[in-house]
Amino acid sequence: MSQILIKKLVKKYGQNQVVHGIDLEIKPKEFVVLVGPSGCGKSTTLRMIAGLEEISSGEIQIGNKVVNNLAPKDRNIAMVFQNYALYPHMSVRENLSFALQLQKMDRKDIDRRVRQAAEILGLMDLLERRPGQLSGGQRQRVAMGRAIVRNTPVFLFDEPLSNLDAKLRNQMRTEIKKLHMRMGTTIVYVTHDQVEAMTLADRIVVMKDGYIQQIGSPLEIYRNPANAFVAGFIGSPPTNLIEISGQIIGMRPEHIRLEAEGLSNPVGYQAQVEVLEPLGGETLVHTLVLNQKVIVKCEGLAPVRPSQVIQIYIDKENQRFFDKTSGKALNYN
Amino acid sequence: MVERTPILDFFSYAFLVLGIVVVGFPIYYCLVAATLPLSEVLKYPMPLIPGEKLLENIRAAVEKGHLETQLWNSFLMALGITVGKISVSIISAFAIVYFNFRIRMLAFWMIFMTLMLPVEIRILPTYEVAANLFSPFKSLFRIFNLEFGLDFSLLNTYSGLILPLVASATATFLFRQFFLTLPEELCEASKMDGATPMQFFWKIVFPLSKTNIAALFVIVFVTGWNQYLWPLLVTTEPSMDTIIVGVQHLIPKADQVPQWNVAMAGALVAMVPPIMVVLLMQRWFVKGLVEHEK
Repeated sequence: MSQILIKKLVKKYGQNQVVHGIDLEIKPKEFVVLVGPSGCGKSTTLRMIAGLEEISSGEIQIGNKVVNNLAPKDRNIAMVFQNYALYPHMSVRENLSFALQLQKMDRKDIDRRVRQAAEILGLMDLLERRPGQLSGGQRQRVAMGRAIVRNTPVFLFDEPLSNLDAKLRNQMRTEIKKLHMRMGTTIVYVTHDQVEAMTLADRIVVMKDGYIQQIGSPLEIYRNPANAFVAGFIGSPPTNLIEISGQIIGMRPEHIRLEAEGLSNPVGYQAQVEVLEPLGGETLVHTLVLNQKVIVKCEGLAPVRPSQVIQIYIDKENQRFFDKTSGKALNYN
Repeated sequence: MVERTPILDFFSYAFLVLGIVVVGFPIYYCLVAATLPLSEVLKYPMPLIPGEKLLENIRAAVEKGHLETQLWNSFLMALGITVGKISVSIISAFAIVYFNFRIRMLAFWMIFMTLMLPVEIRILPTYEVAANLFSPFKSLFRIFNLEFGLDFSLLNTYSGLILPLVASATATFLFRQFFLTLPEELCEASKMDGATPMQFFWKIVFPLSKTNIAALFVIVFVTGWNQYLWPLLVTTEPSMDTIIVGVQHLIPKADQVPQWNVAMAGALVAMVPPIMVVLLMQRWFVKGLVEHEK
């Protein structure tokens, strides 16, 4: 049983192919995040699921029904847009009830659904306001409310937090997570922010250049990146990738230590310290190993100085090896 | 911002006052002339202090020129042009911006190119068509040596006054530019919400265009009201005269009593409706502008 099934999905703009036949199966109530750098085809894929973009070839099923030629409204989905796309001349209440009015739903039922959604999102006091009178976070909530009232089994989110400032983004992120737990809808969420992907997703789909690089739970992807790109994209700061004797070695900054003690199977490298970035609780030590950048994350203050030559250590099991030409993980199963 | 520029301020105000005098004096002169008795208005120079005969002069003008019929005709014509122009151009701009059809760009450029042509340039062919709606078919048929028997004339009708002035490239262009500033996501969101294209038009695009419509209403109404050449050509019966054409009849001819006071009173009457429209709609502008600020 799958909620959304994507088979060999292709998108072409003229001669230019931007999505190269991807396959993806999304289960009911799953929170799937499509993540990747800009231009990787994640938004295009989402928009094809939404029905805002035509499918060049391949097939999309929603709820076991092929939707390739269905209008967005007939796909039983709701969508939250990056810039919210609230109707500026309507009050919050009218924004929320617009879709239901178009469905010719009963006045009483509309009121009930709007109230429900407003209560979930804490919008009760704002119902008569216009979008122009709301803050960024409130507008974001209204945008989500517009999806909630529709009561559809699938929500699509297109970079919903990228217009908010950092603090609000963290807050809304937890709200989206709570919302998912409460509503139990299937969510497909597009972002370029790997922190959002890690924190929100049941499963992450990492994309690049129109291909899926890896699908897996956040921890799977963190622990076992399928290739050097995924390793370098996921994690903050991302995995250090250095080339030694024809192989690419991936080392997570948080796995590297300044002393060998406590490591069961340490491997050492000589490194020259470049810059220190103290963050209070931790310090990022930027170093050069064989003239390649390696960032080390240590707890507290790092007892090193710039231009000092030090030894850094990592447990052998925490190293990942990638093929130099294909970038594929060598110990990946 | 605090800035002290006394000299610049002085010149700014001087220019402003000069501008007001240049624009305002002829109107004031007309107003004064309309209040004077015949003996006073013929004095040289004419006094610049208003007299008491305003109502009498207006009554004389209305009687002499049948201004009430003409006011009604002008009002119908201006309103027809305004409503027609706005409806046609908003819907064609909607089509050009939101629909991806094959000849979209061609359609847009065809409309855009007609921007360059004032009514006067196409007045002869337009008259030909107004005189007989089927004349294009007639010409076509004549090429093949056939006779097209139907005739339908718009001369001396309200449709004849209104229809040729309804299509407007300027208004279409303005609406197009405005629609392009609306975020694309509004259209997509309404698609997701299940709105049909016309529901999107009526519930989203139209309400958002209100300010633009108000602005266009004023401009188009005033230009429509002030049309002179076209009404002069297309109407021959006095009962179809518009007031701008009618005022011309009030102007004294060579061997008449030079009743300039009555002519000016007529001109005043002709001026009132457009001024009313400007004043009434201005409150709309301001309202629209204030709401945009938020």
